[in-house]
Amino acid sequence: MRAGRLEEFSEKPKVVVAGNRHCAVARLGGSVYAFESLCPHAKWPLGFIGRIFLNREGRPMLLCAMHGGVWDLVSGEGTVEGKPAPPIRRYPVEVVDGDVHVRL
Amino acid sequence: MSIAKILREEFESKRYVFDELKRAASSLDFLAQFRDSYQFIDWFKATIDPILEINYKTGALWIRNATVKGIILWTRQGAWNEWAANSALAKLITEYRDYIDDEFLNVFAHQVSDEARHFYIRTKVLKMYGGSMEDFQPIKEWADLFEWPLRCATKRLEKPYFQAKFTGAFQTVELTATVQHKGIVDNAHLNPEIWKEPYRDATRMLVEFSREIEDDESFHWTIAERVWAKYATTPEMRAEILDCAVGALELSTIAKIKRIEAAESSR
Repeated sequence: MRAGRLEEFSEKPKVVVAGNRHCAVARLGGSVYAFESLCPHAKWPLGFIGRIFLNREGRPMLLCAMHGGVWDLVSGEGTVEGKPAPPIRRYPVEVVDGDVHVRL
Repeated sequence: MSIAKILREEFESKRYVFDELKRAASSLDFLAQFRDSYQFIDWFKATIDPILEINYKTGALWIRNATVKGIILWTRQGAWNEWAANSALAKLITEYRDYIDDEFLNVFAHQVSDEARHFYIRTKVLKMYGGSMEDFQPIKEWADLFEWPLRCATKRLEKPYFQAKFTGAFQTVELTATVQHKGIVDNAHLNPEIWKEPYRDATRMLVEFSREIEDDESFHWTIAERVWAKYATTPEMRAEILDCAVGALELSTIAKIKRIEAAESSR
């Protein structure tokens, strides 16, 4: 699915809906990440309450500020209040001529 | 620019969400594409994300700029809302109990007890700020919002439609209220004005209460999720749910902005 133009995305995830399919897309510098729209812990939409950032080791992480859950966007593993949380589903992303495409 | 004006402009820019939901509600072919009720619920929440963002800001931006006088006006409306919520819920579980499954009847009753506790605490906070409910008249949009659930749900006064439509209208508002209170909790510390004596304890109580209410509203939203999980299995039922949910989302967001507008008028 075409998610939008590269410049539309930032570290604040944007929930993209096309028909009955949807995902969240965020960008850190030149890297774009796509993952499920709802937090795997309590199913809150990640657009209004999520943020992505690089941790001390330089790995891209997602924070859901609703309950403080954090997920590693490379491995998908996450924790909420220090306890293991269900992993986050991630989707392959391709950027073609500034257009972001996500394979759901 | 006033916070109400900023939020109103943002609301206008997100109107496309309501258009998309209305389009979905009118297309049984589209609504038939969901594998099951859970997929429908997830799609609904993903679609309304931009509206939840505005609702978060009705808490966040408002509290960052609030005055004590504004908090008093805002809390008066809030206390009335708790009373109005219970009036609608009390009617629901008495006059309309024959249209509600046994398993949901008790959960609605639990919500009644929560709303009563909220009313009790809100009036306490109001007194701590030096306010009262004397001569209070509700904002019209809030009165409309609390009339909407029964008005919409009674269009299909039969099982299982009634309870699914009611939760579409009522509990969807609870979802928006959860994020509004989250916005208050996350941002109240950024407004030094409201932490000055003699209001420090009142503000502390307002924030603690907002944190408490956040969990309660979240639980109230799950009543809709339970009902929808059970019954949103057909395109027809999904359309009926959306019919009530879209109106509630629109009304509740407008009402929250109006409440801020009224509070700001006290400056």
